[in-house]
Amino acid sequence: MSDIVRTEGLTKSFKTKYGRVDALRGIDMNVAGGEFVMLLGKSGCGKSTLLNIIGFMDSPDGGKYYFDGEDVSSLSNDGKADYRAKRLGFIFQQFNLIYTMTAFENVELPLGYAGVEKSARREKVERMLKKVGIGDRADHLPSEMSGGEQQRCAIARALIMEPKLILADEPTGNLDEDSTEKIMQLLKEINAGGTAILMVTHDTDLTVYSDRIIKMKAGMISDETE
Amino acid sequence: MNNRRFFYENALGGIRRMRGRYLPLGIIAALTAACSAFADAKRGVINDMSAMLIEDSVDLYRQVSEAGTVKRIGGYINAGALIIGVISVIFISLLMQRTRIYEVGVYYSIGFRRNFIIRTLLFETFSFTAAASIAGVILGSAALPCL
Repeated sequence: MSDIVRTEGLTKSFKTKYGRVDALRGIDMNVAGGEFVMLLGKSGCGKSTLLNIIGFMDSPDGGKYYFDGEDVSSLSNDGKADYRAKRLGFIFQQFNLIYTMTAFENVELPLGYAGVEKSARREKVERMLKKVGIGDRADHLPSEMSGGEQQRCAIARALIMEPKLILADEPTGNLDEDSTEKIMQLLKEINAGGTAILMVTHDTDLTVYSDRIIKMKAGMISDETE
Repeated sequence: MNNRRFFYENALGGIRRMRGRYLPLGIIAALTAACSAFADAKRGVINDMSAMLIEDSVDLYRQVSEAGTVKRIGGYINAGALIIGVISVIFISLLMQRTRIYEVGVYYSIGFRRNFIIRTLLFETFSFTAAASIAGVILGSAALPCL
């Protein structure tokens, strides 16, 4: 399958009061359509920076970034927002749900923003919540759900626009072993449906779920295994 | 994207969800408007009393002076209440929006454009403040016969 994500010589540095920090030093990597790729590395190696650039939350200082064959290295802020809204789904370690909204309302957000009619939204959201296993939690606030259920809600929100790529930044970091396994099974099912997944993790035990592993060290790719 | 309807849905939903936090803002706006309406109305009464003094009194210059002073004092109270109220509303608005940085971050990660997020927050703040101010003016005017 063709590449969903391809980067060539991606660089990114930050100015701090201690001097310049080179977070990325020339990253060449790719994620093929339908592939499950894990990004491993120690804290501070640049995994999250790379994920933020791929997820259009940040812009690279140098290099090229191609998304689904299009050069998106220097998109405007609105252009990046549109890609995030329509082509990507994000899953975070801290779930990042809006705590004053129910599970239904959280999952409904991207659809509402896309201009989908209320009746069509209701049907899609209910179907998605059932798919991720929290159909009976639709009217519950995040504070009324367990960590695993909140993460499922976040996954439902990430999937609702049927993106080609899901970016997951340590999605199991705040979960117990049992919940971790259930979330990974869910992600594997999603991947089997054709959605590419790029996941950042510290946990080497989770690599069994992936098709390919990319290891990072000090802002560069140190190893790649399948 | 044709999301105008969702804009109002989301903004009004935001007011409903954040009503506890918007309440201090609303109270200040309502009090400011009530004080301003009350001071405005009372200034009219004071002006009438001043006119009566001019008619009855022998020292015309003193009467006019006092009337002018009283009128100015009423105006100063009115302006002062408005300025304090406006500054308070702006200050509380800014504090409130800081508490919503997390929510703004979530909207950003989902793909909401920056302009949409800003317009939503502004709409929520101004519509709630305007509604509270109107309620305040009505209350202030209604309280006049009682005082």
